[in-house]
Amino acid sequence: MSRGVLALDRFVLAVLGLVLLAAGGALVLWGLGRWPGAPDELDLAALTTVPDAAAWPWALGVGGLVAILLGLRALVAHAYRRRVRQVPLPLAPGGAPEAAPGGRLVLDLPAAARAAAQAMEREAEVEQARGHVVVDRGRTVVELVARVDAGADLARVRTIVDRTHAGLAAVLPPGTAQLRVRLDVRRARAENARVA
Amino acid sequence: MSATGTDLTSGTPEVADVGTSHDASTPTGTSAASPSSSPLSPAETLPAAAAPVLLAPAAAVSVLLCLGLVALGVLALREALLGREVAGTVLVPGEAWFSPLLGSATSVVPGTVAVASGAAAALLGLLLLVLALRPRRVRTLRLVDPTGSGVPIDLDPTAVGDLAADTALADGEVGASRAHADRRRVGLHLTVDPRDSHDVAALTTATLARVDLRLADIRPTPRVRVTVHGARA
Repeated sequence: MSRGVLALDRFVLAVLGLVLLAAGGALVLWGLGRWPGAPDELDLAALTTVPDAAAWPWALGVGGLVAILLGLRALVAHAYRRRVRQVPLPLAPGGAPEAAPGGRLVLDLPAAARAAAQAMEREAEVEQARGHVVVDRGRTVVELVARVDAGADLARVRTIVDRTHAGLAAVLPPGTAQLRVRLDVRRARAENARVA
Repeated sequence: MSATGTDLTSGTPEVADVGTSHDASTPTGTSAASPSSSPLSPAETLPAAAAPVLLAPAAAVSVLLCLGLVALGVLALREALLGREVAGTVLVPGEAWFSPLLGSATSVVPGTVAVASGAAAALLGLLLLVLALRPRRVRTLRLVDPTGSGVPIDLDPTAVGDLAADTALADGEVGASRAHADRRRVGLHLTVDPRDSHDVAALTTATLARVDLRLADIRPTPRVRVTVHGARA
């Protein structure tokens, strides 16, 4: 889901909320008789003849179809996840990627994330690690998830993370992505041996 | 010329370099085109991402509204096709649901029903407004670098609880430990052998000190509460 969709969600909900708040407040005032000048009775008789109109089934059909399409489109927009696969690399240190004549050099970002995870996994403290790329709040984020034992030395884990960070930073062009590291903790034991 | 990341990282010796280079300015053998000669520090080249957040309440409500809209559309379409025949077969049999609703009331007068309906609508409107404006909540805690230079490491509250529970087990007096945690609190439940005598206060203090030390670099630092079970009164 993109930031634009979330902004639209907030806008639609806020408008819907304001309309309901205003209409509800007006109905309460009218119901209590504290709205001077308002009619004493709302005539809804005209609505009773609407289903008899020849266009009623068509209106229902078209309205229903529009509601279905609109609802499905909005659901797809909420489920959509932007993917980042390749990022351009400069052909020469400090050079701009687009300035390269005769070709281009790209880096497979998810593969770099997986390689970093594999490197973490080779450390004794890390039982398992995964690496993937997500787009979070408009930013490309390399996300590494490492599983460690609950008794792991956190200072040592920090060293491993820093080393992986430096390795990835050496491979990626500046400003390409951000890094997020998450620790999954697994408890190998919940009891001491002497428990009866 | 093209070199993909697969070439760089799929099991070749360069893979090791990705994770084992101690110095970002040291060439890692990845490629001549690698910006490894950049004078930027790792934190500048690859900055830390913001902490992960939960789904916004507005998005969750919107998904429900979308599902409602689709359901409403299906019902309207059903009613539009109600009783229509194709080649002698009725497409959709049954009763109309929308049309009778329109004829159910010919007028509305001020009274209890109007006040109650208005109040309910206003409350729902207020709720939607609050949900629309509510920010996304951070769902993890962060293990920060005391020197302030490293990437923060995110941990779910459950993971922090597991760290605390495991730390508590370091005391041989504790038979078993379990924890339940959220972003602010860790509740530690220790079980001791009821056949032995225990100084519960001393055990609690020692466990708290040990766990506090273990979680010292976690932000926000959770408040730890220890409960001891199984001790003789």
